[in-house]
Amino acid sequence: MASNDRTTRLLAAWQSDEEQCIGLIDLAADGACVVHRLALPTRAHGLFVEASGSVLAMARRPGDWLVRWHPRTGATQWQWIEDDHRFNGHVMSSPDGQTLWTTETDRDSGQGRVALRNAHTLARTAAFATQGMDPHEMLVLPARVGDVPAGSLLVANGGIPTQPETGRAKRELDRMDASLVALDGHTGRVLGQWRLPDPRLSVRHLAWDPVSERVGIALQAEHDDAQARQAAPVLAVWDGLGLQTAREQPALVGYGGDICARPGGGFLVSCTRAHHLAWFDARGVWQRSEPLQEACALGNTANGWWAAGRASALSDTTTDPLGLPAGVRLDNHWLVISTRS
Amino acid sequence: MTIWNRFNAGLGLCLALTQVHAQTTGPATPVVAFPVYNAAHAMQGLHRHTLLPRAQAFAQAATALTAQTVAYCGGSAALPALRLQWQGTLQAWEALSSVATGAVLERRSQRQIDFWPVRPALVERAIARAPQGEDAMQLVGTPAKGLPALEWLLWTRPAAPATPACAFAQEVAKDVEREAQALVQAEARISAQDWDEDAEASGKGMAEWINQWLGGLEQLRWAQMEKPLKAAPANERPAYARLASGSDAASWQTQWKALREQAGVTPAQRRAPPQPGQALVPIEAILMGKGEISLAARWSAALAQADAAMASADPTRAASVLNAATALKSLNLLFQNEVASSLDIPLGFSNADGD
Repeated sequence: MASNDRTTRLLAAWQSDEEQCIGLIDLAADGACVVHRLALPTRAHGLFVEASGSVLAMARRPGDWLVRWHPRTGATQWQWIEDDHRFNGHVMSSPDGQTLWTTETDRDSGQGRVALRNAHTLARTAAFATQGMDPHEMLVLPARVGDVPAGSLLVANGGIPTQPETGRAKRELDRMDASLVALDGHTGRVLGQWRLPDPRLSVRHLAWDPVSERVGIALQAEHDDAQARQAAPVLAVWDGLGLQTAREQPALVGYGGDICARPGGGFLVSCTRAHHLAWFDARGVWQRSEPLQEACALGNTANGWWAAGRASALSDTTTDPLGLPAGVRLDNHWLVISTRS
Repeated sequence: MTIWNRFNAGLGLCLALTQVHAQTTGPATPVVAFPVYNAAHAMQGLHRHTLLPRAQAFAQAATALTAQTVAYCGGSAALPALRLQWQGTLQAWEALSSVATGAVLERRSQRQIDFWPVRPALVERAIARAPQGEDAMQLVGTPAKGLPALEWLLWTRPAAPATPACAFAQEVAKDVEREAQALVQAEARISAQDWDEDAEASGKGMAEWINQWLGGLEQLRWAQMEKPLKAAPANERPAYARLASGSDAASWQTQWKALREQAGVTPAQRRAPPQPGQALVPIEAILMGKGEISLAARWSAALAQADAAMASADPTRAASVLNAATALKSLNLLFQNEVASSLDIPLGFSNADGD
């Protein structure tokens, strides 16, 4: 790695003092600062940057708000979820920009839904089943993978039984049923569904590797047995045919917080509870790990990556950790908006 | 040794010498020794001495609600009396369920009898179907029954005596009563559990309680108080959960009282700490028993601030509601950032975990 003087602007969510926020952070070797911010009613989770430059942020599961924010003007557009559902933390726009997809849970049945929302009004127009519980991140396939056509919507069904009255508390883990499902994003037609042999591995976050044309999946282990949890894989790779868990991986405490593709192919997984970043090749073979305290949010471009920890960040071009803005405790995700030298 | 084995160790030692704090007890500062409480003590106190009596009180109220509804529909009781009984039943329910643990959680009773908001179209459909008895009521969707549906039938569109709507109201009341009786049975079973003998069950129960206490606090702070304010269109009244019956202020106070009694010690408990297995052991007492004196003091002060703010919370004055919500948020942060970790409890609701 070599140091440079580039500045990277990232969209992030964080806690600061008694406030939950989203905002833009400028990150450089000589310091970091918040350049725009929006205070939120509760903690955010998933973020999405629209073509216009506006930002979508969603409440962490079980959530009840979705907001569109224009960082330059500060303008906001709030959408409160319909009372019989709860947001599950992630939102994304269809490639044509006309539709938003949100992962949700039906409060009555506890089953997962993808809601289609009018991109202008944010209002729900339709919904379909995710064929599982606890749906989390989504990804639109940029290219055909196996028999699954380009443009299909991949959904990570986390598989953890959820109840509105327990929020995030985990009960009845024996009923866990995590899966990756490929859907037609407009009709909900099921194009394929894949499960890992170990039912206690929750499938949560997704990344597309354009080099290998495979999808990396960050896993979170829910085993009762601490040793099994410690040793559990933090990555699975989907190649259109099936899911392959990480190989030759050392113990990383079974918690993949975020995932992104590596320049040149393969995946980077933040192992928050192991305080490490882990490098994998596109087949899921572990390459190496580097320490980063409370490693979590990962952002990338075609040429680089940025990883946030508790008080500092790493990137592909820095030799020394980059400081984060004082008092800011970042959430799981951040997205690269721009880089400039 | 696991976290819970560690937590269960140390039974009966009087380690914590604490000074009582001026905010809650006045100038006198006697030195009081608190026992070291383990998870079994917490579960015994919670279930035997709090939740079981609350479940019994709720069942009594629900039985009276059924009787009052039958009387009203038969023309022998007035609507105001029935409404009063509904409000009393709601209070008894919230005193039990605001920290949704034990039987309430096991049976998913909140979903069964307190699904909010009610769906008027589903209620109308159910009235037309005229369900009778337990089996028929099981086919009625949760958004059309329970206490919110009864509130709709008593306030929003009051059912006149001797009408199909009133017949359905009776069935809804009986359904609530059945659930209340089932809660008593379930909570009696849980209370009779030998918590001392099963450290794993005690540990899980304790973790569930602490998590659900936080969940109950957030439910009150955000879902019931702050969110309706923020989500209300300009110049419109916030859609508080018990708006139709005008019960929001009382509901908030009941919820806060239930949360408060499980969170902080009373002046009497400062003078005579709860005896293990003989009384509810509030979170503050556990902290003191663990020797976390400074944290217990800050927790007590935060509770006192919330007491003051909650006492002024008035659904008709937005500023007072926001002020109370802010105080509850401060309490939430202290709980998440320091209290729970001092109790060795991993928090599912926490801001400290990922997703």
